[in-house]
Amino acid sequence: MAGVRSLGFANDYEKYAGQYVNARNSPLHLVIAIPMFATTWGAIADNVIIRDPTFEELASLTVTSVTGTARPQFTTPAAAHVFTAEELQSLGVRTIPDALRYAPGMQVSQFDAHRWSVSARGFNSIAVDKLQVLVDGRSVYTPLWSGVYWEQHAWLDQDLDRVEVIRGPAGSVWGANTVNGVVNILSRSARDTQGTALTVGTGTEEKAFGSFRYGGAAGEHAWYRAYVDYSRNDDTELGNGSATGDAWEMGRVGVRYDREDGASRTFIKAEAHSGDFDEPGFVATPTPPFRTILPRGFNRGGFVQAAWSRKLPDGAELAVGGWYERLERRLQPTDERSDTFDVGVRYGKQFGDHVINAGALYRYIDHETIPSFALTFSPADHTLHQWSGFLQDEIELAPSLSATLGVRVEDTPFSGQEWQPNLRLSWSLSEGQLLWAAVGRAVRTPTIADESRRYVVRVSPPGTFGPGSPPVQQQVLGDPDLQSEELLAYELGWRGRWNNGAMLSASAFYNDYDDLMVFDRLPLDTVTLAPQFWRMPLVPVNAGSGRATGAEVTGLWRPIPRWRLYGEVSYLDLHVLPPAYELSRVLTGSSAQLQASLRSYFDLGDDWEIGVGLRYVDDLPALRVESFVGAEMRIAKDLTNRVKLSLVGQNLWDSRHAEFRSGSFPLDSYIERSVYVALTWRR
Amino acid sequence: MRWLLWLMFLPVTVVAANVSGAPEYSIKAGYILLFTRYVEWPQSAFATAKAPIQICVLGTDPFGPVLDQTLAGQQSQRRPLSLRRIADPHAADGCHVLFIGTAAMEQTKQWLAAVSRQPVLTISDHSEALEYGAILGFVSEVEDGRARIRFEANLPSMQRAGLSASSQMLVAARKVHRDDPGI
Repeated sequence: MAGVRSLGFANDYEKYAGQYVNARNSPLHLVIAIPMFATTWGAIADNVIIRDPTFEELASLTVTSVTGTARPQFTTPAAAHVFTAEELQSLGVRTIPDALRYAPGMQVSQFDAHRWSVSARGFNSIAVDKLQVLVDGRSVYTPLWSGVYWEQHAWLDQDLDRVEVIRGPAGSVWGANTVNGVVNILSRSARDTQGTALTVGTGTEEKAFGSFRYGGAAGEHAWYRAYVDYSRNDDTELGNGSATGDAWEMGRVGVRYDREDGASRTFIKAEAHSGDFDEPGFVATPTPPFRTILPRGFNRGGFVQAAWSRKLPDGAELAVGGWYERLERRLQPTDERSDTFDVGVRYGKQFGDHVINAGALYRYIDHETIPSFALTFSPADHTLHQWSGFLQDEIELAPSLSATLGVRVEDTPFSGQEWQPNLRLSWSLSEGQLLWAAVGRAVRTPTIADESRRYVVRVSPPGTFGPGSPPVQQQVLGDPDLQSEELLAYELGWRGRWNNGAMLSASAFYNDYDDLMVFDRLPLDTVTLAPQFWRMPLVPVNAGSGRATGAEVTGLWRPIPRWRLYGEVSYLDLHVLPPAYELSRVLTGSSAQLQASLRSYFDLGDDWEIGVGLRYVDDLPALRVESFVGAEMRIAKDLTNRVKLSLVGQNLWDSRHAEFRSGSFPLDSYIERSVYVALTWRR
Repeated sequence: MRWLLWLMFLPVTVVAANVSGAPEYSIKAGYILLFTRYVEWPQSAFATAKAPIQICVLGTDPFGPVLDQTLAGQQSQRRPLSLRRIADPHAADGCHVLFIGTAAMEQTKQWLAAVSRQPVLTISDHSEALEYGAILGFVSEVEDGRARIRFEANLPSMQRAGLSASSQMLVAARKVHRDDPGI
């Protein structure tokens, strides 16, 4: 019943079992073309001292492999990277985007205090729509335009377990929009968060923050925790030194319950959040001066999620799960309400050399928008039904050679049926070396916005288009006939590990994109809205294509037990065609060609720890963003065995830098150097 | 800010590597620390309310400095922890935790008999010792060439010693022997 090929339940440590059916989390990770590793902590190689152990952690440690922190299972045939919570906290990271800055192949550009672009392998833009993000198995991209509302999901959970990042298409496993990658954010089982924890802190950018958690047992095999978080953030700075006007605050409260006995696992989570955001910039209006400042934005909502999984007597495994989420959000330029129901089922069984997994998923979305002059959708409300099914066969061809064939068929609201197949091969060259290769197809399906939007970017005053001309609306429209954007990806990877605590992982890819959405500029329309307005419309067309080649190298070295070093280098060469379209030119020049980072964690002894991170991001010529170096540092000391004090500096390299500029978001905000202190108490 | 670069490599200059002992004992040391937090001793086992929990290593010590470092500065149940190494079970007076290291099973058997019915949490490196009265025993689970360290617990022995363990700890055990396995 071993390792990757086991049906999971054989293995006690795959503790996230029940988390979600659709969630290809651990025990079911076979489902998964991409079996992530079984343990949270991986293995330790030397006689390190384990601080603040829990039974769960100790039981998950193994004693022969290479590292002290979680790595993707060595045999994973995918470009995967894993951050443990401990690794991120040791660098003082407070948000998921800040964590992903250190992930190979990922680019994070912060626009202002609460907006980030987070992309994998290119397509860094104001609206990244080719990345799948899951929180405890719950997909969090918006049906409106298939991006992620990072202001809602940026926070690092105080009881985060790990963040898994998989580059490359994984549509056969994770469904549509998993074009360039998946970010999988996992919180700890309530079993591992017993007791009380309190954190309070203050800083120059994050003005005040705090979190509290209480965890207890609910019977012999069941545990719960209740938690609350709050954060208040300062403005970023404009080019002229004044405040951008993008301060924000957010609070969150939730509970989680886990029950684990021999054969079955149950997981229930409920959470509510409420955030308020100052909105920088202007929005178009129909009357002079044809623009106005924005009201304060908000994002409120909550969800309930439950999952259950069971090992059947014949060795097979069955899991079902579902969630409901409510969202009310008004942030430039949208004002929306939505209710989403999602249910899924999954079944897995081993037959000789084959491990078969199959599953089905249904999602119901009731989405309403509140029309404004600047943005309307027609119709304003949508009810969407989405279903999909997948089948995967993992075949052991020879003792050191295996293949994974997966396919997912999905019925999407606007483009009908989509097939997303994937083939992966892995070949163990030796105990310490692995080669893998993959080819797959993934799609990014049209969304509500693509098909029915009318967005007035700005209104030019009368007379701009010649004497006597009325005001002119610059509009971005939708088109109900849009097709899915398509990717065919070819990947190759290698991993090696050595006895001295070093590990190296390299991957290279060639991505061939087709039917990419670009915008056609229609001629000045002096009829439709006349006599009040003329209009200059942009309409989306599937006329783009693209090629990306690139490579990523990740290294990990632990020269001595108390010191860990991580390094990454990513290279990307993306060309979006044809260059006649402005969007093609922008996309070609808005992703960093070269990125590199280095992190060092050191346990100084006497309860002192130090973490340092340095990263380089290449310039973005199409956005007029210069290359920059980011630096983070954290120094922490255990004052008593319950109280820890940490001092963290972020973006230390220079006093400020810009990370993103966009024509459709004409603000010149700069990210400033910042410092915070935090005090944590646990018992 | 260039100094950050140097800081990153600070460890090279300030650290001399000091590696000894097997990694599995780092994990076992972690378990021993946790056991002191989840096992309850009778009040009579302590002289005062602030008296330390004494952890004793009997026989060959496989931990090197790891156990000392794991326990250093830690507290359990509002009591400090102290560590002693002893050569003979008769020196075990005052021990609350007794780890029996690598010894022949015959010897382990005699040592366990010598401390039986005393409020001492006996831990053996080998789970077979559970049959001879040890309360806890470590087990290696080997899978794919990698081993995980877990433990088993013998409840009747624990009760005879007058100790009790919280359910959180027993849940973590690989196996809880509820009937005396010797009978």
